[in-house]
Amino acid sequence: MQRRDFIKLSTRTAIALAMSGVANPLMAGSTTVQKTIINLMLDGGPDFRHLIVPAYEASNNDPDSYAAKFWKARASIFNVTSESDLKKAYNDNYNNITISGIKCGILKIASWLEDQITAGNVAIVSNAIASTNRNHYHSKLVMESGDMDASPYNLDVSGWLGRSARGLGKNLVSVTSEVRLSCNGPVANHPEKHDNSMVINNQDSRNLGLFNYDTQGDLDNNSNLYRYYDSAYASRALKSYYEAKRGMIPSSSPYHKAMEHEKNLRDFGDRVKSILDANALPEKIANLNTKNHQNKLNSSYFAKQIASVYDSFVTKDIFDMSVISMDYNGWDSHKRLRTQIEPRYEDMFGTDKGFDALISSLDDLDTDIYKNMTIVISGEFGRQLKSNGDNGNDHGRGNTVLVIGEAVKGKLYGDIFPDSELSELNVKNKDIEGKTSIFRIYSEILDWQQSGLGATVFGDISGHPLESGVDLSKIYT
Amino acid sequence: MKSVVKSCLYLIVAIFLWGCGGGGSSKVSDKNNTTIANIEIDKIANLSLKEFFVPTQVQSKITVKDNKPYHLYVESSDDGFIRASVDDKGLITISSANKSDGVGTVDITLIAFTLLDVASVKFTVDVTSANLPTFSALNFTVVSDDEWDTAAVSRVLDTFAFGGQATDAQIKTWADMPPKSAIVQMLTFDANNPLLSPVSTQKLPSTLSLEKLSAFWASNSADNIVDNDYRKYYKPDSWSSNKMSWARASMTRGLNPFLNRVGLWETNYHMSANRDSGVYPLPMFHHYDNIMEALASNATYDSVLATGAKNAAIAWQYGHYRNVYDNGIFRGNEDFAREYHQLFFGVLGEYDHDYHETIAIPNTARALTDMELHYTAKGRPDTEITFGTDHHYVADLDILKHTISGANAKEKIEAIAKVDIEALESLKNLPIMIISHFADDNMNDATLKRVRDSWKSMSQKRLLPFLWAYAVSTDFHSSTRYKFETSIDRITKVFNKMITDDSDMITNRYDPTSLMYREGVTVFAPIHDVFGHQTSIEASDNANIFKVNYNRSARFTSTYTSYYKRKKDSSGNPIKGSDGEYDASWEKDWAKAIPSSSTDNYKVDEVAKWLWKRFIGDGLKNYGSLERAHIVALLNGKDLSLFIDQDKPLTVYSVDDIENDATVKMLIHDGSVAKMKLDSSDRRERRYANRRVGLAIAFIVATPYIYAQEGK
Repeated sequence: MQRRDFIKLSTRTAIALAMSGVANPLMAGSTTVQKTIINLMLDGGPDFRHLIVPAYEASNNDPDSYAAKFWKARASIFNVTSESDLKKAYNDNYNNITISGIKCGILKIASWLEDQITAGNVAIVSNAIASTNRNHYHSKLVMESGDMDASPYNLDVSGWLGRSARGLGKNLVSVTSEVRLSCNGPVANHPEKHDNSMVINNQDSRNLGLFNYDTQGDLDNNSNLYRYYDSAYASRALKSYYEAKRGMIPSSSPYHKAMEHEKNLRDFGDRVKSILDANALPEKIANLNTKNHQNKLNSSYFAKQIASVYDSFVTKDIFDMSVISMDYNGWDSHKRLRTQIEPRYEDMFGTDKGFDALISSLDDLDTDIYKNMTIVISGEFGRQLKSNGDNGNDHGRGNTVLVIGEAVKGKLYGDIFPDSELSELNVKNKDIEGKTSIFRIYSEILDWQQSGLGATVFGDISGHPLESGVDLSKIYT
Repeated sequence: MKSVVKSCLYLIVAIFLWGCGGGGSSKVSDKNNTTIANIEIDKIANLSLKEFFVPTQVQSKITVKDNKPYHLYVESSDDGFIRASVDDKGLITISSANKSDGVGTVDITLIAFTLLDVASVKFTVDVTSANLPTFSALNFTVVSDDEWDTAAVSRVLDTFAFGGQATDAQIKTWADMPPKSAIVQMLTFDANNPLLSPVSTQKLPSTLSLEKLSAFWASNSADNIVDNDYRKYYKPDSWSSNKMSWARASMTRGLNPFLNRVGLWETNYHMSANRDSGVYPLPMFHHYDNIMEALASNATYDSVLATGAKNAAIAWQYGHYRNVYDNGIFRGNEDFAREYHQLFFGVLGEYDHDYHETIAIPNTARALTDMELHYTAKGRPDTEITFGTDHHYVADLDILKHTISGANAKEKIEAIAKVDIEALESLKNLPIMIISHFADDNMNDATLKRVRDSWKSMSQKRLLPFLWAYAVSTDFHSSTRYKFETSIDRITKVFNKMITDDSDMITNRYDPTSLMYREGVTVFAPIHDVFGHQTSIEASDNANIFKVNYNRSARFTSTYTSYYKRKKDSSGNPIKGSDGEYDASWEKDWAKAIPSSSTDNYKVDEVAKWLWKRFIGDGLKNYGSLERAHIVALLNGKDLSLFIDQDKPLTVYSVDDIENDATVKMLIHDGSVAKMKLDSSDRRERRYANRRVGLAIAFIVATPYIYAQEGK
C-alpha cells in the first residue's frame, strides 16, 4: 500500500474538532472511573510473529503446510536447520493455543497474555499498517501524529493521543522518559504547533513536585532558620518570582512552557505527594524493580513506568486522565532477535511481571479500573517473516496491534498467517502487505471511550484500507 | 608608506622562497595603487614559524604546486591596523591599514609566519594544521553591522560553543568587527581556538583527539591538573571516559568548545553510536576522533559522513560487520544499509519507494560486506575495522539509481556518500536536520528555503562554511527564531559559565554529566539509540526536566553557591587560619571573571546585569524589573521577600509593587548600589560575596529564560 492508497487525513479538521471539546486542563476530575487508554509504543518495529506463531506440532509431517514453511523460513533465528530441531524449538519455547479456531503457539514466557487471550480479552489485529515507508523515524512520526503527510523533520505537531484527551476535555498522563509526540495536544488554527498544557509528566510519580522550603513551618514554630539557609532563599525567591511572573509571558513565547510546567507541578505536586505517601506501592509492583527478586524486570525503565501507571490511578481524581502513554524500546531485531526481544515480551507479559502485576494491583484498588481500561500495544511496523541470515529479520510495513481489556471482545481480526507471504519468501527484502489502516483500529478504541471521538481525532478515514472480512466495530461489541 | 610597501613586498617573496626551501618562481607587479604578488612554489616544507613583512594595499596570490590543501591564517598582533581577506582562489587582499578585523583563510597554503613591524604595523600570520574554507554568505543575507553586537555574538557562542570561553573584551572585539570577519575567528575546527578559548594555566597536548585528551587527563603527567582521585574516570578504556572527557574538553580553557559541540551533534545525534547498545569506549573515541579529524581537515561533508560510516563503532552498533557474500549468497542485515541513507544523509526513499526498499537498501547491505571487526586481547572490539575482499560483494551495485563501484566496502561507502549527498532528498532534508538541531525550532518557509538553497549552492558541501554563513545570517538573528535547550546543551553551557579558571577544573566539581544523568541523559548513550539523543522539543515538553533543574537551584543550591573547600592537615582535620576562617584547598573566585572596571567595582546592579548577560545571553532583553529585584536581593544575601521585610518572608512582590511601591523601590535601589567585596583581602568577606554570586546564579538558571534562546 502506498501513500496514494490513503485518503489524505484531514488533521487540521481533526484538530479544530478536538479543540471544541476542551475543558480546563488539569482540572479536578470526577470520582467515577473514566474509560482509559494505556498506549504502549514498542519502538523499533516489534516482531509479533515471534510472539504468536503457527503451531508446529510433532505430528505435522507436511512440508507444504504453512507451519512447516514458516518455521523453515525462520530457522536461523533459532540457530537450527532440521525439521526435528525446529519442532523441538517450537515445543521448548511455545505453548499451543487456539485463537479464533486457528492453532497457534504463544511464547511460554508470555503466560499472562496467554491467559488474557484464553479469557477472551485480547483482540489481535493483523496486517495493520501505519506508514508509507519502512523508516523507523518517519513511520513513528506518521503513526504518532496520525498524519500520513507528517514531515520527517517537524516534531512540533499534535499527536493522536493528545487530540483525544483534548477532545474529551481530559488530561493525558505520560510515564515515559520523554513526552512522546503522540501525546502532543493541538493548537487551534496552528496544525504546525502543539500545546501540552493537558499533559501530566508522571515518570517519577513518587517524586513529583517542586521543592519549597517550609518557611511557614518555621514561623509556626517560632524558628528563624528560614533567614539563614541558601535553599530557603533560593526556593522562596523562585516560588515568588514564578508567581509574580504568571500571565506575563504570552503562550506564543518559547518561555511559556517553563511557566506552564511550574504552575502544573506547583498546583498538584503536593496533593499527589500527600496521597501517594499514604498509599505504599503494592509489593508485586515494587518487586518489579527490586534487586535480585525473581520478578524483577529486565528493564528497570519499564518497571518504573508500571509503578507510575499504578500511581496515576491512585491519584486519578487529581489527574483526571483519559490516556496513559508508555513506551518500551529495543525492538529493532535485525540481529540476535531472540536475545533481544524475548526478555521484553517476558517483562510485559510474564506471570507476575509488568502487566500482570499492574492489573492485579489495580484490581485490588478498584475492580472497575480494568473493566474501563484498554491496553493498546503497537509498533511503527513489523518484521519480515523470513530471517535475514543474521539471527534476525528486517523491516516490513504490516504488523499486528494488540488490544487488551475486559471490555474487548477477544479474537483474531484479519489473516494472521497469510499464504501470500509464503509464496514470496525469496523475493529480496519483500515488504509485508498492510491491509488495515492502524488509524481505523485506533479510531475504534477512541469511539469506545466516547462515540464519535475517532472521527474527531482522525477526521474522515472511511477511505482508509480495511482487510476484507474484518469488522473492527466488533472489538467492543 | 608607499615606499615601505614596495620594499617590503620584495622581502615577502624572498622570505617565502627561503622558507620553502628554495625553488619556485615569483612575479610582482603594481597596478592601480595595489601591489600584486603572485608566488608559485613547489611545496611548503619545514615552515613552522617565519617572519614576514606584509605591506598594506597588497594582493598576493600564493600557489602551491604539490596540490595539497593548506591553510593560511592571517591576523594582526597590533590593535587595529589590518584587514586581510583571502578569496576562494587564494587571493589575499590586505585592504586597510586602519582596522584589525580580518582573518583570511585559503585552501592552498600551510604557512606559519609572523609579520613584524611594517611601518608600525605588526602582523602575525600563523601556520596552522588545516586548510579552512573561505567565508561566503551563500543564499543567506548577512546581518548588518548594526545588528551584530555583543548580544548577537553571545547568541552565536551559546548556540555553537556552549557559550565559549572568550573574554568580555574579545566578545566586544568580535562585535566591532564585520560579522563575516568575526565568525571565521569564532568558529573553527582547530584543536585550539585561543580567541574562543584562551589558554589559562594548563599545558595541554596539542590535539583534537578526545582519546588523547582522555589519556592525558588520566595520566600522571606533571602538566595534568586533574586531581589524582578523579583521573580514573578518564582512563580511555573505562566506561565513564567518553562522556567525562567530552565534557571536560568542552569546558577546558585552551581547547575549542565549538569543535566539541559539533562532535556532540555528529556522534550523538547524526551518526549516533550508543554506549548502552554495547559500543565500547575505545571504538567510540575513534568514532568521534575520526569524524573530527575529517572535519578539521576541511573534508567535504560526504567524506565526513563516509568516515563515520567506516568506523568500528557504527559497525558494532548495527552489526553489519557480519555482512558477508560467499558463494553467491549474501548473509547479513539491512539495518545500516537503510540508515546510512536515511540518518546520515536524510534520504528516506521518497524518490521511488519500491526501488529504494527492494533495490537500493538490499544492494547497500551488499556493499557493506566484509568489514572485519577485530578484537583486542581483552576480547573487546578493536578501534578500527579492516575492509576485506574475500567476502565482499565485489561487483558493481545499483544504489540510488547510480552504479556504485569499489573493490571493498570502504570504497563503496565513499562512492555511495558522493551520490547520497547530491540526492534531491538529501539536499532537501540534510541542511534542515543540521540547522534545526543547532539553532531553530521555529523555521518558517522562507528560512527553510534559504537553508536548503544555501546548502545546495555549495558545489562542494562543507559543514563549517555552511554554519558560518548561517550563524551571521538574518535567519539566525531573527526575532521569529527560537531554540529550546536540550539538557546536554543547557547544563554544559551553565557549568562552562560557572568556571572562572583552571582551579575550578581540578576536581569534577563542575562535571555536567552527573547533572545530565539526573535529567535522564548521558552523552554517548543517545536516548533514541541510533536516532539520536534528546531533542530540544522533547526537553521543552518534559516537566520532569524542569522539576529537576528547578530543584537543583531551590534545594541543592550548593551546586552554584559552593565557595570553598576546606584544606585538611595530615590527620584529616580542617586547618583554621588566624582570621578564624578555614584554609581552602579550593576557593571560588568570581573576581577572576567579573571585571571590576565594567561593573563599577562590583556594584550590585552591574554585577546583576553581568551575570544575566553571561548566563542568559539575551542582551538583557528579558531582564525586567522583577528579575532585577530578585537578583539584587540575592546578591545582597537574601531572597526578595526577606530583603524587603524579614518578618514577612512569604510576601510575593509583583512588578507593580517593585516599580511603584516607594518603600520597595527604595530598598531595591539601596541594594543595587551596594558594592560586592569580591576582591576583598578579607577572605571572609570575599567568600561571602562569592556565595551570594552563586545564589544569584542559582536563581538565574532556574528562570524560564534558561530553557530557550530567541534569535533576537
